[in-house]
Amino acid sequence: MRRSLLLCVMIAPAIALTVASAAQSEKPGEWAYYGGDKSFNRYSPLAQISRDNVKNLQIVWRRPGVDPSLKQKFPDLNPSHYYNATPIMVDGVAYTPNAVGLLEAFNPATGKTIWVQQPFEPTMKEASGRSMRGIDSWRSGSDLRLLLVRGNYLYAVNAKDGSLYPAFGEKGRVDLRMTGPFTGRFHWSSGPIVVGDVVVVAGSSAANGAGDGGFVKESSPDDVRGYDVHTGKLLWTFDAVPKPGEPGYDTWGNDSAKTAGNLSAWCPLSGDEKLGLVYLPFSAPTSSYYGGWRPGNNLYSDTLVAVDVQTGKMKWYYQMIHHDLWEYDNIGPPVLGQINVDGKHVEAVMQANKNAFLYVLDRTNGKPVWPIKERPVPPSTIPGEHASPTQPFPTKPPAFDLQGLSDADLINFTPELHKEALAAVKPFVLGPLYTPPTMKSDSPDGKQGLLMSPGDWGSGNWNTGAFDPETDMYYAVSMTMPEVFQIIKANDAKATMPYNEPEGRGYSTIKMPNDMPYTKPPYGRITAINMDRGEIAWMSADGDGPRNSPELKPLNLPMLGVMSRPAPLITKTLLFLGEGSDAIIGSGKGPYAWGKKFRAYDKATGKVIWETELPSGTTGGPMTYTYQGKQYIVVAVGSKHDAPELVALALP
Amino acid sequence: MSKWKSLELWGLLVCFVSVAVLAKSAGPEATTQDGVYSQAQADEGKKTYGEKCSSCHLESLEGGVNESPALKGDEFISHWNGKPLRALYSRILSTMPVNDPGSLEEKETLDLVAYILERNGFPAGKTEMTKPEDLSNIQFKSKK
Repeated sequence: MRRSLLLCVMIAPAIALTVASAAQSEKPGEWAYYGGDKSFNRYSPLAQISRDNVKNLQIVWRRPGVDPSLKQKFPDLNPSHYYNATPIMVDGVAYTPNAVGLLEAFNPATGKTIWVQQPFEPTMKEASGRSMRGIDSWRSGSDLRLLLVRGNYLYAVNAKDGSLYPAFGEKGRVDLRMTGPFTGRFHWSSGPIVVGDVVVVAGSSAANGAGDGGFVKESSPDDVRGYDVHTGKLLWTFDAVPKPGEPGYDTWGNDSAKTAGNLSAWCPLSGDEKLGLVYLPFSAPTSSYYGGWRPGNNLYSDTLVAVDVQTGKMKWYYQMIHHDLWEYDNIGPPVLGQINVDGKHVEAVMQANKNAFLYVLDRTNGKPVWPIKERPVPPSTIPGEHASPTQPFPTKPPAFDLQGLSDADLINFTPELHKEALAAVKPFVLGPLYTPPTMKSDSPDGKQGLLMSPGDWGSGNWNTGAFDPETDMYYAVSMTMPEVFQIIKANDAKATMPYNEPEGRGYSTIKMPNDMPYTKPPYGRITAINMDRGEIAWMSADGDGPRNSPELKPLNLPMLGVMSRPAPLITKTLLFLGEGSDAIIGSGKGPYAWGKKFRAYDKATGKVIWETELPSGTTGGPMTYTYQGKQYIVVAVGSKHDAPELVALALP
Repeated sequence: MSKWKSLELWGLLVCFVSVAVLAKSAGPEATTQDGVYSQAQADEGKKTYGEKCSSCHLESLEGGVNESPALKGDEFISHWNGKPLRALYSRILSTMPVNDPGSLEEKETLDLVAYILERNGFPAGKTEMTKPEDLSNIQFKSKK
């Protein structure tokens, strides 16, 4: 392949680009992007570990979240235990962001360190950081680059030794901070994707936005940018909020586009190298619970946008939520796959949303594979609010988690639990999906707001999607965690809207005695969806949950699921999944919301074939590779009380 | 004073110093119950907290925004209880603010630790915490 690349470079640069893209495709047994490949399928065809021998899996190595050499240099390096990275493996070497976001290379068979990326300067300031979900790799001939976003910067790291390329950006890195009003530090929890020779970076530069809460509507739009992988030069910027004169500007009434922002495509990205498109899952806009100041549908909030990776020009878009009032971000990667619907091949993109719908579109043109119908939804009761009268409802596939909330959804294993649950939800308005947030009553006897499922952390999140290209099955991993949506009259001096949510979102998650959940199970689930038919094939709870609590143990219940965010790995016959961790922000509280179990499910039926206990709960997505003829599974673990680390499993 | 009495006193003093030295080399020699920060330092910490922490952890330290944890109360105290105070210091220094880790100065972080101790009911003393190394010898100890 490298030889043909060289030939093409000599013949015609245009052809060379195409071949270079092909050359980047992973080799068998590799895991070259943190989603497995750029389709973000979280899938590997490896079959050495099978349903017959999975019971023999054992831990073969562990490596700490931060290499001891760094800890020696910086004794105060004490990383967060939410180690959310997924490693990659290319050309016989594994690479991972460590728990402070620096890259480390290690031997895939032993976990032993090969090199550690050094902080840009030898200071605690530069050494500090957080882990990212992952990285991408790019190759041209013998030049293998690892693309990493850390803090304010995009880095190209030489895979040979962890050094930087002096000609990339400024001294080896590109400053991602934006300029303009309401901008601040750059931050992103996911990672870049390289399509062709372009590195695409999403993330956020908003300084004071209220996309995730607050009193201030003004914010910087989280534009997406493309950079030259050779030089780090900025090639294009896609405006997350249309500028005056651009299509879509009129979806922000009262010129609110001038001050609206956030709506970052913060989740993992995917790309189609053949089509030259990158898929951007935009999220909720500024002030996600109150939109009285931004009448209209608010493009490109909660919209999937396909962008030409060479030019940054939009090819198509599809908006999932109009005028969001629930922070229902598009979440998880836009998963790419070929499906067969009514005898036709469809190049599909499958985009999950926090609202528990999976939107299935033709990724060449953005048209729904099955009809998505605009249906009436309840109006808002907040003065001045402009809730959309309709929202798009997919006719297929069915929702993958609980939507809306009523007394019929409350736990009823015992009369006592049901009574406690009724009391817990009594202070709140309940209703169907898309019931807008309500006012918090000044009276303790009045309604305290809306209680809705899914909540603003979603049913699904970054962990949700995986796709099996052999069986056309999509796997949604989700949790059932209703939350409270409250609106109050602005009473803070900093407020720039007449209404906003209470400081700190009040009590967003209500609690039952003894940390018991108040809805019926499952509290976390795997939903397998046959994408050729748009139908659910099976659903399984994804962990023990409260089945062994004093209240429920006598009932001898099966797995009830965990209110956390484990990510799946699909192989030839199996689906691997942990139970999440209490270190993961935005998940359930208490001892039943996570666990240390790691399971192999039969991917065809959802039945548990094998389980083991890891040193801690899974915080990152598992990945797999073959090295010297042996298959390994590696996953990041940690909890509030357990230090972050990588754990590798293999057959003896 | 008799010679023996004087020798006894010297012996006691030697014993006391030896125990103190041993205690220092064996581990923590103070706890958060011993007034390890000053009120002035906690006041400085309050200012930094207001500028860099309260937007997520709130003025009440109860947390909530962006799922930030509470920095006071039983769960917080039980998490750090028994650990060297430096562990709390280094966690803040390494990871906070969440969207800009590495931006806090050493002194700012020490002041923040003082403020958090104050808000959790640990008593102030007469001297400031001035060096991170000193926090290695202070044990986070709840009243319970």
